[in-house]
Amino acid sequence: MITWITTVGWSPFAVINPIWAYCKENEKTPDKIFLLHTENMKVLKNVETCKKYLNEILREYSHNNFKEENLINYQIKNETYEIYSIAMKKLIERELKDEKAKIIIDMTPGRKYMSAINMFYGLKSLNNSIQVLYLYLEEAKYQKVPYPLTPIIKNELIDIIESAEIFSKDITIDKVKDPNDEIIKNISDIDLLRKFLILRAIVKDFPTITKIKKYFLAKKQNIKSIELRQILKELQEDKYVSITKVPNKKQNFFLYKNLGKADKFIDDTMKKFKSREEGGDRI
Amino acid sequence: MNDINNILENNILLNSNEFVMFFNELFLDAKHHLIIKDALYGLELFDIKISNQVEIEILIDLDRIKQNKRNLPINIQNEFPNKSRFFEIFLKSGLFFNKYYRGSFDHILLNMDQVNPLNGDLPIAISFDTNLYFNQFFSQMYPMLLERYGAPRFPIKFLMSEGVKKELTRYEKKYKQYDINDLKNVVKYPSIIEDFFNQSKLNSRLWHLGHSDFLKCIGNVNYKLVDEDISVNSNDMDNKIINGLMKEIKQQNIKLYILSQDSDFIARSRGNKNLVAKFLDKIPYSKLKQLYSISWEKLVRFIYTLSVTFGAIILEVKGKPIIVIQGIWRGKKLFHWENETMKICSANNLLGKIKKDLTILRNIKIEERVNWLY
Repeated sequence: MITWITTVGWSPFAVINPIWAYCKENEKTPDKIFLLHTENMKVLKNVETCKKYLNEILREYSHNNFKEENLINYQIKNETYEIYSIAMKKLIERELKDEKAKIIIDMTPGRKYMSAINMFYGLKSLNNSIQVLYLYLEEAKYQKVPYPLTPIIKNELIDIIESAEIFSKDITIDKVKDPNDEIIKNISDIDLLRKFLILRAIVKDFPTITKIKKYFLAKKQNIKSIELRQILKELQEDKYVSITKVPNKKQNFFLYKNLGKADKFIDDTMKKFKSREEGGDRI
Repeated sequence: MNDINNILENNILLNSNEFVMFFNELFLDAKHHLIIKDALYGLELFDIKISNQVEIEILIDLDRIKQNKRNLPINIQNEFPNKSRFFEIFLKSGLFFNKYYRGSFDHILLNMDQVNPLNGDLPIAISFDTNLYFNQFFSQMYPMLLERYGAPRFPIKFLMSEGVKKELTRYEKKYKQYDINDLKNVVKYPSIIEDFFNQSKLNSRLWHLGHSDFLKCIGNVNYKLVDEDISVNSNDMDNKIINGLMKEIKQQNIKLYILSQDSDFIARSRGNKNLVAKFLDKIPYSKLKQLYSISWEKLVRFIYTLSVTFGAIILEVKGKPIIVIQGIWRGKKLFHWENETMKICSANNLLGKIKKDLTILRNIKIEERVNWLY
């Protein structure tokens, strides 16, 4: 049972698009959605806009199984931080009475203090199945554009707590250090380099999307999650890696495993990189 | 050939403002590296890599297009784009716009914005000659208008000529069954050509494209349609257009910027009071680069122009055709031209995924164009 909590303010697509992204990425919908809002006239109008979109999205992605009454208006008197905190507390406590419940708090819309309060509950309730998501949008020009009409590469739905945890931890140098690190700095064939690094990350036990990203960061390389997923899909199709869905309390995540061909690819590619370094074919 | 027939069995119609959905699904399906072939010559034209930006590498030189055209039977040569038509695809898609033309438009828009009637400044309007609509200049300047003024209708004024409209609406020639049969004898993908029946021939569809640009202009700015001057006693349309506009300039007491890529037209426009004639240089073939890096939005325009010019294109991944995009198809109607609709054919399940989101969007009936740049 997934309950999604979000806040409707001035920008309806900040409410709609994260849910759309979640449905598309996970091929499932939340079971219940709370739309927190005040009684401001413009906000009430935006609540209606959100509901119009969300009803369509949820119907389509749930194959007509989403019950309209589970899209719930949750009106608060005004948007002071005291009232918002109390409302969130009540909602979370009520929903978590169900032991199987999982809560997603969307911190994309709303004011900064709301995001801070959302994070507070997310962190406080780590063992209580609360996930805090944020739809990162690379360019402001897409703010008023429905999710599927935005280039997918410009969006990223992020599990904020998980990402912050992984990216703030130091990686043991020994785990990522490689005598050939200097060589890869000068490789201009980005596609090949990325495949190489992804496979090496998996071999070195960085088996999830976020961990592979962390590995890239340690190598002073940058890659977006969506690009990573795309390359992983290719590697999966070419039988380099397998993928396993692992459920935990908060979410399903995917573990990537080396199918054996990866080691040879890494060796061969490193030979190519070295040959370039020694003045051979340009890569 | 079986591959192509399988692909043609399933299709979906997508308007250009929905087309990003198609690239999104391709990207998610790890099909980000594509080869584009045309459906007429069957030549490998472009190598496309979709990432944050899109890299387009041109795989063919203009002279090879010329050579291939020469080798065709004479009766069907007109239906195959020549090197000039091929080159125009880059122009029409806006790949030269920012570097070569944007400055001229910025200058005019700045002058328009600075008009102060309290100081006695004359209101300023713009007018395009036929060749500018033909080359999609309104569509090319559309993103800069969005950027400058926000959502349409844009607060700029266009004087549009009936004479220009007449020139743009010369798209009556359509493919009959015998044309289709003639084409099928020489093309590499006859099953695609079968679907061109009763659709515009090459020149007609390029005029149609120009007229669509004209209509797009009407739909997005403040405009007035001005008759050409029928008192001009000859078939000289340029003169009729210029005189018609001059009458309007005098009547309304306005200043008009007229833009053209035809130096004769510009020469004849010069020397008239309150008429500023601006010549937009043609880009020489030599300026065509081998590699372009463009936005996803520009890629949509590029694919649209390409598929209309060639009628259809084939997208291959790892040497295997996976998608056919048709710019014309049996049953294509006026509103398809207006919405810049393309027919996407594929046996891949990406069409199902697109349909899901398309159903949502169309149910919500977003009637107004969403405010995004392209």
